[in-house]
Amino acid sequence: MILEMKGIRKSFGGLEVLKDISMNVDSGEVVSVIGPSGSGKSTLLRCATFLEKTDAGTISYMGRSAVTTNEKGEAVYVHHAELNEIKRYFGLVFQQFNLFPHYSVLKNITDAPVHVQKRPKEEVHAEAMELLRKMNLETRADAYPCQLSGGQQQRVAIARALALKPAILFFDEPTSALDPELTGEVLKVIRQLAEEKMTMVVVTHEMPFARAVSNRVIFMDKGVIVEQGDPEEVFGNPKQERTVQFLRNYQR
Amino acid sequence: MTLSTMLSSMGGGMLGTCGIFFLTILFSMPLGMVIMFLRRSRFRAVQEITKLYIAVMRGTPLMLQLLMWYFGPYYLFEMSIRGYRFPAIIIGFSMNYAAYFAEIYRGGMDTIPKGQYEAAEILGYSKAQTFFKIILPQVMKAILPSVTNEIITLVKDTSLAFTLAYNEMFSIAKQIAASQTSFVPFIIAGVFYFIANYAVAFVMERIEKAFDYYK
Ligand SMILES: Nc1ncnc2c1ncn2[C@@H]1O[C@H](COP(=O)(O)OP(=O)(O)OP(=O)(O)O)[C@@H](O)[C@H]1O
Ligand SMILES: [Mg+2]
Repeated sequence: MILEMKGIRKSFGGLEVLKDISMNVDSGEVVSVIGPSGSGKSTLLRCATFLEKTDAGTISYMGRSAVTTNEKGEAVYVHHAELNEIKRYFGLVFQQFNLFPHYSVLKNITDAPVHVQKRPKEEVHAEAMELLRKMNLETRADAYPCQLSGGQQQRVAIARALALKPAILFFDEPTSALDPELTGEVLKVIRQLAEEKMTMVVVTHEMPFARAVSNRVIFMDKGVIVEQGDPEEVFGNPKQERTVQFLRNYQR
Repeated sequence: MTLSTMLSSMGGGMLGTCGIFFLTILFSMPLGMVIMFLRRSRFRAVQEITKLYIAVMRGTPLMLQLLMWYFGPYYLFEMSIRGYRFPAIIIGFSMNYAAYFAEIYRGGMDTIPKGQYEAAEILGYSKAQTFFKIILPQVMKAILPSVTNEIITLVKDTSLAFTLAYNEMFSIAKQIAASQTSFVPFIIAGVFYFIANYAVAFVMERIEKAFDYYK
């Protein structure tokens, strides 16, 4: 098991955004998370990636425990050094790309492997060029993010995440900030990663994509997982009334 | 008095003026960084004290502050320190300009989207790496125009050192103008400040160009 999350709860002020969410992700699995706006999808990813502190529950990666719950039911994080080790297991691709604007495409990709993971420059450089080829961007290595289209920027962001060799990659609506004609090129890359058995969790509003690419679909609403399962089941034959309604809105 | 003797006696003052200018830059810019961090501290008390400090530094005349720094130790502790005049000027200028720079830096920090910090965190950068590699270069680009303004003001403000009877260029110009009943020293002083600021603008423009490779 790559990721195990159990009993995750998160509130902002009085607003309970995640209510006892559990999610496991196996090696090679591609999980899509769908659901209406405000249902807590981003918050779930942010808790999984420690950008947000969960109030309760447990989280572990590759069997290493990052968050446990004490007897009072509060979440307890492991110490800093261990948490940093565990962070190496995952990557995250943001809706807004969040590339570093003052770094070239190549430096965006190589800087963390070289200066965080302390890996040899030449090796990282060669791998980055390979990743860029895969992203169909090998000619743009020296460009700056501001010179690229949104779709190209997002592909660089994916390459940047992959360069650190995560065991699992999270995507938070990777195509929502893009013009419709640019979503295809990004989805194609994710599809390609799925074929290579990259473990991924993708929050998305692209229903045909979720149906075609994922092994499992999770439908969230109001902070709970309403339904999950095989994409053909969830999309073709949803069991829950809320799922039916949500999907109906997308059929039009 | 010929023009050349005027120029040579004012030349010594120009050295003093340049000394004030460069030392103030040297001390106030890093100090402003420290003040900016204190201003953004997690601790409420530290925030408030820093805010008060900045308010006082910006809300009172620099001339008055120079007098305070110079005569303060004497009136408070009955200390008179030999050769304290120049250090007092540098302390006064640096403490004052640091407050302004702190506010400029703070404005620059506010232009950096939260996503930059989050991306850096996910990629595993340490707090120090995030600040020095990711945030600071972008802040510098954002604040360059305001920093240029501040430096140009500083060039002109150096003339306030005459308050402490320090022989920077403007003080000397005044002395010569009085003894020779001539207006020429003031014209020379004006030309000097103008050229100095021209040089500042030139250098800053070069620096801004160096940051132009991205938007
Ligand atoms: N930092 C925060 N402070 C306060 N409230 C927050 C914060 N982050 C999220 N929320 C609230 O939590 C709820 C869930 O937000 P979240 O971003 O997880 O939803 P989402 O499912 O990702 O929605 P979308 O599809 O619009 O991205 C929303 O009501 C949101 O306003
Ligand atoms: Mg979201």
